[in-house]
Amino acid sequence: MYLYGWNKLDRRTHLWFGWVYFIAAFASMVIINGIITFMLTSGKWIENHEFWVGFFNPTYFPSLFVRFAFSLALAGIYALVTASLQKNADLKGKIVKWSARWIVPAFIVLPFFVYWYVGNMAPQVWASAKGLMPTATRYANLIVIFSIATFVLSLLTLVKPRKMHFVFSLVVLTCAFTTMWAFEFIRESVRKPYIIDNYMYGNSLYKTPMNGDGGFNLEQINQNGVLNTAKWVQHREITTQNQIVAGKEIFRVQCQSCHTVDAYRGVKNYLQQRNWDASTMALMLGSLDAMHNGTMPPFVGTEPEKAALAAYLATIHPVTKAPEVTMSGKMTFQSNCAMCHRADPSDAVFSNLKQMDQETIVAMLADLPTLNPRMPNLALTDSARAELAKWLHE
Amino acid sequence: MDPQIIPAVDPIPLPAPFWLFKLLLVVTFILHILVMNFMLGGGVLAAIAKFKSRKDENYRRLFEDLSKKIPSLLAATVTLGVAPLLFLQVLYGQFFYSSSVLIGWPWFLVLIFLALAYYGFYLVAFKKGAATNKVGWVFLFSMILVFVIGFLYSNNMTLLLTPEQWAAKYHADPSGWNLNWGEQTLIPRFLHFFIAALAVGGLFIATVGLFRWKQDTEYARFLIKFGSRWFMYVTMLEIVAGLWFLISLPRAKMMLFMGENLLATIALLIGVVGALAAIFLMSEALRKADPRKGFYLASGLTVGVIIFMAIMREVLRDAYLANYFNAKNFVVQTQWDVLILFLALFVGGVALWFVMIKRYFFSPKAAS
Repeated sequence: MYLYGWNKLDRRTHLWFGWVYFIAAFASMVIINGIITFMLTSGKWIENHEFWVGFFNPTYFPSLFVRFAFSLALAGIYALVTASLQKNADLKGKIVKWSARWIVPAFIVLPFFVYWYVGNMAPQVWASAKGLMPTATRYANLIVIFSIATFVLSLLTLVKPRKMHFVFSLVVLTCAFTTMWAFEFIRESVRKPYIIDNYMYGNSLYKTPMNGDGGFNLEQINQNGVLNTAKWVQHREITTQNQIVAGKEIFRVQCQSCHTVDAYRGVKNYLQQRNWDASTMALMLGSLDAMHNGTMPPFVGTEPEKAALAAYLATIHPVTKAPEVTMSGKMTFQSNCAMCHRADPSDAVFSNLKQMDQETIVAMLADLPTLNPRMPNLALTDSARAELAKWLHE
Repeated sequence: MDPQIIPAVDPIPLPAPFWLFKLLLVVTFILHILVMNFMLGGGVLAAIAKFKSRKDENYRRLFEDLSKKIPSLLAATVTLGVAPLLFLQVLYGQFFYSSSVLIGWPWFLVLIFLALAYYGFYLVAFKKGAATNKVGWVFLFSMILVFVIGFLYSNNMTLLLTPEQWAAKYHADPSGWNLNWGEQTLIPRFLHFFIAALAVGGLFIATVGLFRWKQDTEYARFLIKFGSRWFMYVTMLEIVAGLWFLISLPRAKMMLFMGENLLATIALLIGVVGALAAIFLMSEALRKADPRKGFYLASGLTVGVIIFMAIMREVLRDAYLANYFNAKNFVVQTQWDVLILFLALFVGGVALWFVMIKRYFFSPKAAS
C-alpha cells in the first residue's frame, strides 16, 4: 500500500503508512534477533529455561544495535543507488549528500557496537575467528577489508556528488553486502559445534539429557548405540559383513549435517592430509571434541559403532604406504597432533616441552595414553618419533 | 512399518494450550486460502480474459485491472501462509519436517518457482503501454509456476499424513527427489483445492466489480456477471471434485464424513448445502437489475463454506495421524506473559491492517 500509494494517498497518510512499515520491519528484527542471538549465546537459559532469559540473552542488545546501525547504512547505500539513476544533477547531488548522512555515522558507531558484541561472546568462541578456524578467519578478514572499502567509497561519493555513477553505487552496494554476508557466515561458523549454544549440537544431539529428548543425548547414545537410537536407519546391528554400510549410515546420521564426503567440508580432504588407517581413525574419533579448538561435537555411540565408522572412513581414503623417507617432525605433528594441539607459545604443553630433554619426550610419545587417557596410542616408527621429539623440543 | 521412524517431539513444552494453536492454525489457514484463491483463481481468469481480449474491450480492461493486482495478492498469500505454516510446525512438526525432507528438492524448488513467478507478474504489472501477446505469455508462465507450487504443497501435505510410507520412500531414494505420486487422494485433493480457487477467483472479480459500480456501472456489471457465472459453473464442478476426493479416501476415513464423526458429517452437509445455496442465490441475483444484495449473501455463504471445509481438513488429518499422534501427549506449560503479548499484537495487527486498507481505498484522495 505504501508502494502503490504514492499518487493515491495524501502526504500525511502516506508518511503514516511508511512509519507503520518501518515499525513492523523493526519489530520483525526485534523478534528474529532474539532467536539467532539465543542460538549463539544461550546464556543463563540453560539453567532455568525461562523464555525471556533466552530471548534477551547476552548478545541480544549488541546484535540489535549492530544490525540496526548496519541497516541504516544499507538504507543510505540504497538511496545512493537510486540517486545514481537521477537525471537532475542538482537533485542527485542533494540525495547523495543526504545518503552520506546515513552511511557515515552508521559506520562510525558500528565498530563500537561490534566490539560490544564480541565482548559478550565466550572468548574461546571468538578465538575461532581470530585464526583457529580457517573459514571463520577468512571471513573475518573479508569483513575488515570490505567494511573499510564500503566506508571509503561512500565518502568518495561526496567528492563529486553531482556526478556519481550508477556502477559506482553498485560497487558500494556490493561491498556492503559482502561485509554483511561475511558477518553472517562468521556468526554461523563460530557457533560450532552447537546449533544452540551449550544445548544442542549441529547434528541435533542434546548435550545433556532432557525430559522427552527421545534418547538423543550423549549419555544415552553412548550406552544404547547410535544405530539403535537414530530413526531413519536400515542397519540396527553391526556384523562383520555389514560393518562398512553400517559405518556409512553412522556417517550419515552423525557427520553429514556438516560434512560431505568429498565436497563442502569434505572429509576426504582431511583424511588425505592425515593418512590414518582404520585403527588410528577409531582412536582419533574418541577425541573428536578436543579437536580444532572444540568446534567438533564428540563422537557418540558404542565401541563397535566407532569401529564401523572408522572402517567406513578408511574406505574413503585408503592409506597409502608410508614413503621410505621418514616424515619430518613437523609433518608428523601436523598430521597427528595439530587437530588438538597448537605449536604456539601460548599453549602450555609446548612451553613445558621446551624445558624437557629430547629423550624424555621420545619416551612420552611412546605411551601417550598414560600421559592423558584421551590421547591415542600413536604407532609411530622410532625414527619418526625421534624426528617429532626433536622438532617439538625446538 | 517401523514405528520408530517418526521423529521425537521437541522436548520444550508447548507454550500455550493445544486448542489455541489449533484454532490459530485454522483461522490463519482460512485467511491464507482465501487470498490464495483470489490470486490463483483471479490469475486464471485474467489469463482467460487476455485470451478473449482481442474481440472485447471489457476483457482487455479486466486483464489490465487484474494483472496489476496479482503481485500484491501473491505477496499477501505468502505472508498469510507463513502463520499457518509455523503453527503446523509447532503441532505437527515431526510429520511435516519428515515429509519435507523426503520431497526435499521439489520442496526447495517452491522458492525458486515463486521468485520466478514474482518476476513474471511484476513484469506484467509494471509494463508500459498496451498489453501485447508477449505479456500474455509471461503471465501464463507465472501462472503455471504458481499452479505447480500448489501441486507441490498437495504432495507434501498428503505425504505428511502417511508415515507408513516414509521408510520405503526414503530408502528407495534418500536424496530427496520423491513426490507422492502413489497417493490415491493426491490428484482429487489437489483438484478440489484448485477448482475451489477458480470459483472464489470468480467471486473476487465480481467483488472488484462492486468497487467499480459507482464509477462505471456498465463495466462493473460486466465484471459481476463474468465473475458470478464463473463462480456458479465452477462450484458445480467443485462439488463433483469434492465427491471424487471423498470416495478416493480410504473407506474408514470416508465414513467419518458419512455419520461416524458428527462434526465432520455436519461440516460436509453444511459445505454441500451451502455451496448449492450460494449457486442458487447467485443465479437469482444475476436476474435482478441491481445484483449487489444477492451477491453479498452468496459471498458470505461461500466464506462460511470455506470455514467448514478447513475444519473438515483438520478432522481428516487427525484421523490419518490417529495412530501416531495424540494431542494429549503434549506437555503444555502456558507462558501467559508471552501469550498475552502475542494475542495483543495479533489483534492489534489485524485491526491496524483493516484501518490501513480502509484508509487506502476510501481516503479523500483515493477516489481520483
